[in-house]
Amino acid sequence: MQALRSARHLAWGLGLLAWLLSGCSSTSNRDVLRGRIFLAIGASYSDRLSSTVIEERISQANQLIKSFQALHPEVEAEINVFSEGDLQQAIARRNATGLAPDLIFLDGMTAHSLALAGMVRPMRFPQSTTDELEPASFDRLRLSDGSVAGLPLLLEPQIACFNRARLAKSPSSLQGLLELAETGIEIGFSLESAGLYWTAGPLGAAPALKALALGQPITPPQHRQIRYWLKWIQTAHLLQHINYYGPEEDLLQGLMKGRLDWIPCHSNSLVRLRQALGKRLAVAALPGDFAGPATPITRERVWAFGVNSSPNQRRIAEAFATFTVNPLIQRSITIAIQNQLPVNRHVPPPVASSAVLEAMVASEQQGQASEEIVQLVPPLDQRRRLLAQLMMRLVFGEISPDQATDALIKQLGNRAGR
Amino acid sequence: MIQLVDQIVGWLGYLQRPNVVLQLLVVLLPTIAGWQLHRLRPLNQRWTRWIPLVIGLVVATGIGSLAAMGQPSGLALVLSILLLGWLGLNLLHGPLERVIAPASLHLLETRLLKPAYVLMAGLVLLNLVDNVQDLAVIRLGEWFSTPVNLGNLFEAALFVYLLVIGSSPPAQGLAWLAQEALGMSDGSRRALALMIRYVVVGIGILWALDHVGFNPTAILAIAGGLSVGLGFGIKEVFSNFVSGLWLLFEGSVRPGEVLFIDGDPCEVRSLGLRAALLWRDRDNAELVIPNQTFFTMTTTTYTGSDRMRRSQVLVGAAYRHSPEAVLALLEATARSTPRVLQHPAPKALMLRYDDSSIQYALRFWIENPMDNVGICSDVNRAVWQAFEEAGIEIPFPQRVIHQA
Repeated sequence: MQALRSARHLAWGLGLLAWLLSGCSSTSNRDVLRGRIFLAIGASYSDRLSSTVIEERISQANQLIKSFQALHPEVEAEINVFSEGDLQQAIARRNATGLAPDLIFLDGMTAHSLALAGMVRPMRFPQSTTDELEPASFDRLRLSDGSVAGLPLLLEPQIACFNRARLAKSPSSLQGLLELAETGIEIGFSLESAGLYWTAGPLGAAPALKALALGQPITPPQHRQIRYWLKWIQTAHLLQHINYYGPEEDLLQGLMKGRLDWIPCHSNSLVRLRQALGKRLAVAALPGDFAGPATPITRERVWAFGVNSSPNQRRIAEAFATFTVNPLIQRSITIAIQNQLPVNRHVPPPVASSAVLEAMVASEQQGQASEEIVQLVPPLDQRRRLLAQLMMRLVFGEISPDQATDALIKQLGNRAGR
Repeated sequence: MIQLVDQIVGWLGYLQRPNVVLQLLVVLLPTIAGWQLHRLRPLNQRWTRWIPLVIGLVVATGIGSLAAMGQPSGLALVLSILLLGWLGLNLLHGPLERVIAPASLHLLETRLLKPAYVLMAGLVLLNLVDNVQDLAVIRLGEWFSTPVNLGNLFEAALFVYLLVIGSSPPAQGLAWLAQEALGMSDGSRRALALMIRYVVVGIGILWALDHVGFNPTAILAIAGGLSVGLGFGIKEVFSNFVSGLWLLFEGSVRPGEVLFIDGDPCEVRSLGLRAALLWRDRDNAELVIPNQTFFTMTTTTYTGSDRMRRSQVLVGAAYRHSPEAVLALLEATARSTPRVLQHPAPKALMLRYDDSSIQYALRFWIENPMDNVGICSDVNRAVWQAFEEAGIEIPFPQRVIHQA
C-alpha cells in the first residue's frame, strides 16, 4: 500500500516536471518567440559593483527588453549583473553547470578573450546584420576562423566630466589642466593603467607604448618619451589640487559629492552624474598637449552568446541581440539616454543638437588611436594589473621615473605575462 | 516583493535546457528512489545499510557519464556534494554525543549546525542560478517610509539570529572572567551572563534596524505604537519580561538559587524572558513559573546571603533516660553524620514533655539546601542506631483504659 502511494508520489513529481518543462519551453511555431532567456550584464572593471550600479544596469537592460517585448510579448528575461573582473570566473563556473547566461553584455576585448578560451559561442551573423555595423567593430571581434566573438552594440567613449559651477569650460591642454589645478580646481585622475593612458598621447609616449605592446624594441627617443610621461604623472601629484584615485568609481563619487571638480570618465556614467549634479554637469573631449590630442580608450560593449542555451533560448537571444542593433533602437538609446554611442553606421549621432553627444563623438574619434593598444593589452591581460601597481608606486614616490620606465618597459614588453 | 517572486519563478527557465534537466535527474532520481527504499525497508534487512553507497555509486556513474560525453555536470556534482555534506552532518552526531550533553547537542544541531548548513547550501545554489548581489538589491517595499531591500533585511535577520543563538558562550566566558576577578557567586555569574546576553542582543537589534535603513523617527513611531499594544494586548508578556530583568538585577531569582515553592525546595534552572524554569528534586519535575509571580508574591529563598540551610529532626526518648545524656548523644550523632556541617555546630534541644516521651529536636546545618531530605534521613538513621547502642528507648504512645 505504502509502495503504491510512493509510486504515485513519484508519478506526480515527474508529471509536475513535465508540466514545468512544457510550460517553460517554446512552441514549435518558429514565427513566435516564447520563453525565458538569461542575461548577464558586465559592469566595467572600473565600476565598483554597488547597489546603484546594479540597479542602473538592470534598469537599462530592462528598457531594451521592454522594447523587444512589444514585438514578442511572450519572451521573458532574467538579468544578472556581474563585475567584469569576476565575469570570466562566473562564466566558467556556470558553463560547467549548464547554467550559463544566454547573452552576456560585456567589453568587446573581454568577449574576444572569452571566445578564444571557448567560454562563449563564436557567432556568424547574416550579411543584413553585418552591413548595419561599422566593419571595424566586427574586425576587432574577429576570430581566426572568420567567426566573431559577439555582436557590437554600443560605444562608451572616455570624456572629461566636470562641474560647470566650478569651471566654465574644460581646458584644451594638459598644461592648462595643471594651471587650473593651481587656481584651486580639484582634479582627479584614475590610477588604473587604462584610466591614465589618455595622457600618453598628448605627452608623446603613445607610439612607444604601442611598440612595446607589439613586442618591438624601442629607440632611445621613445625611452625618453616614456620617461617624460611617467615623470609628468609623478610631478602632477605634487600639486595640491591634483589627486590620484583607484578605480574610476572613486572619481565619480568624488565628482558627485563635490570633492572633485574635473575628472576623466566613461560616458556610461553620465546618467548617475546627471542625477547627482543636474545642470552643473558638463562634458568635453579630454585635453591634448604638445604631442597631439588625447588618446582616450573607448569601451566597446558587445553581446556575447552563452554556450549552454537550449535551441529556443539561442533563437531568442540572437533575435534580441539583432533587435538591439537595429537603427531605431540604436537611435533611441543614443538620444534618450545620451550616455552611449551607436555602432550602427546608419545612425549618426545628432551632434548639432547635443553638446554631450558632440563631446562623445570627438572623444570616440580620438579613441580610435588607442584601439590597437587595447587589442594588444585587453582588459583581462595581467599586464594591466601590474601596470596599475607600477603607477601607484610611481605616484606615491616609492620609485623614481627612471625606475618606473625600466619596469614599464619590462612589464609591457613581456607578452608572456598575458 | 513581486520582483523577488518573478526572479524565483524565472529560475524555472533553466528547465528549458536538456543538460540541466539531465543533471537534476542524475542526482534526484537515485536519491528519491533510495529514500523511498529506506522508508519501506523491513527493519531487520541487513542489505538496506548499503542503500546510501549504492545511491552514491549510481550518482557518481551518472556524473562520470555526463562528463565523458562532454556535457556539463557541475550542477549534479554540486548537488551530490551538498547531499553528501548533509549525510556527513548527521554522521557527526555520534562523535559529538560523546563530548556534548544531549540537550546542548540537540540545541547545537537544530539551531546552529543544520540551519547554517541549509543556509550555506542555499547560497551555493543561489550563486549558481542567480547572482546573490543582484538579489540583495531587490526592493521589498517601503516600510515606514524606508525602502527595504532583501540583502539588508537578510543580513539583519541573520545577524540577530546568530546573536541570539551564539551569544551565550561568549557571555558565559565573560561572566566567568568577572567571577574569577571579583569573586562573585555562581548565581551572580549566571545572572551576569544573562544580562550580557540581553545587552548584546538588544544592541544587535538596534544595529539590525539601523542596517535595514529604518530611521530613528520610524523606530520611535514603532515604539509608540507598541506602547499602546503593551497597554492592552501584551501587558502580561511585557510585565513578565520587565519582572525578569528586575529579578536578575535584584538577584533574588537567579539561575542556581534555591526557592521554597509549595513546601518543596526548588532550584532555579533558568530565568527566561517570560518565565523562570525551576527544578523540583522531590519528583524531578520542572516548574515553569511566570516571572511576574516572583515579583508580586513572597518568596522564601535558601540562597539569599548564603547557601546553608538549618535543618532539624525530631525524636522522643523515654522519661527514664537523663536528658543531658540524650542531648549529648544527639549532638555527637549529628556531628558524626556525613554532610552535616561542623560549624555552626549541631544543637540538640529538649522541646517538651509528651504523654509517652520527652520530645527532643536535633538542629544542624547543611551546605546544600537541595540535600535536606537525604541528610535528614541519614541523621534519623544514625540517631536510631545511637539510641539502640546506648539502650535509649524511643517509646510509642501507650494508653491504659480501665473499664468500670
